[in-house]
Amino acid sequence: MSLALKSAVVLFPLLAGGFLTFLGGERLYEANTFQVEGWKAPFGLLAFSSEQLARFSDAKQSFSIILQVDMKGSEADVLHGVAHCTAFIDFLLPSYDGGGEDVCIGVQFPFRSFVRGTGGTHQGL
Amino acid sequence: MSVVEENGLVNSIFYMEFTRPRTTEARKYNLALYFEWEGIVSREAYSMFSFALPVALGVDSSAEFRHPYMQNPNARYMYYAETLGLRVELNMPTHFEIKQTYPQVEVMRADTGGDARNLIWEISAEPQYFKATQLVSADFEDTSLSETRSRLMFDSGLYMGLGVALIFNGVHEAVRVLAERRGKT
Repeated sequence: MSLALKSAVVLFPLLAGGFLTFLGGERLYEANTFQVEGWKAPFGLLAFSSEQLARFSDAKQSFSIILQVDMKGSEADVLHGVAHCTAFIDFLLPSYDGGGEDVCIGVQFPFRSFVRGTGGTHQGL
Repeated sequence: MSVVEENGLVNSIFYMEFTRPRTTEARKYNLALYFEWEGIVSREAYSMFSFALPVALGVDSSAEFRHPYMQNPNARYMYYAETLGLRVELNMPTHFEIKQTYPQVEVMRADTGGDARNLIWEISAEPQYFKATQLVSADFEDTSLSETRSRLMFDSGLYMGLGVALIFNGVHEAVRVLAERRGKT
């Protein structure tokens, strides 16, 4: 057997084996490694206002929030811990006969939120 | 009316300031916010995820839930837990398999096309939820990711099995060639 053939018989399995083992190790690493997003002790959801709000006639609450979290439309973002959300916020300001007072009304969302758009209406009851 | 946004690492504040109009009757306001929520979903394992929404139980409860605006004169009245009407709707694709929810989800329905699933919690209707927890949560598994992981594990076993066998074979051949050369000399 020539030297070249002997070298091939020795080197080919070593090189191919090394390459396949590396490839297998890489797949194993990929299957067991992921980014862990820990719970960062966030503040809880709440709402606040500078004026006392009236209660809705059919409930004991004064502030209503409907959260629609869409994971279907933002499936790729969910892998990175991000979800698209729409919040519908309703509140009732009582009658007022004073003049020109500023009111501040807001919501605290836990975690980080980035507003992409707003819309609003108001109506007398 | 202006909407002000303040983002922190663990919470975000939105508030609007406007001049209160003179009215003889109560006036209802509706506001819609469209936003990206970062951190609301956490990845627990390769294909396991957890949605967790904490709700404040009160401004005097633990420090983690204390409102940073407590000292702000604009935040004189707080609405949380029982005083906050809250409905949470989670829309997810059908290949997200629900493992558990807390509180127990009230409504689970599939979209007419069958490609999405809705989970709905009507929290304000059940204030007793807040006596046990401050979280609305759902754990779910992305089945397409779990299939990917299974394939990766299979590939890994196959490649490493072949690779290690080939390395042993190469070493064996090397030893044999060396033994032959020594025998000749």
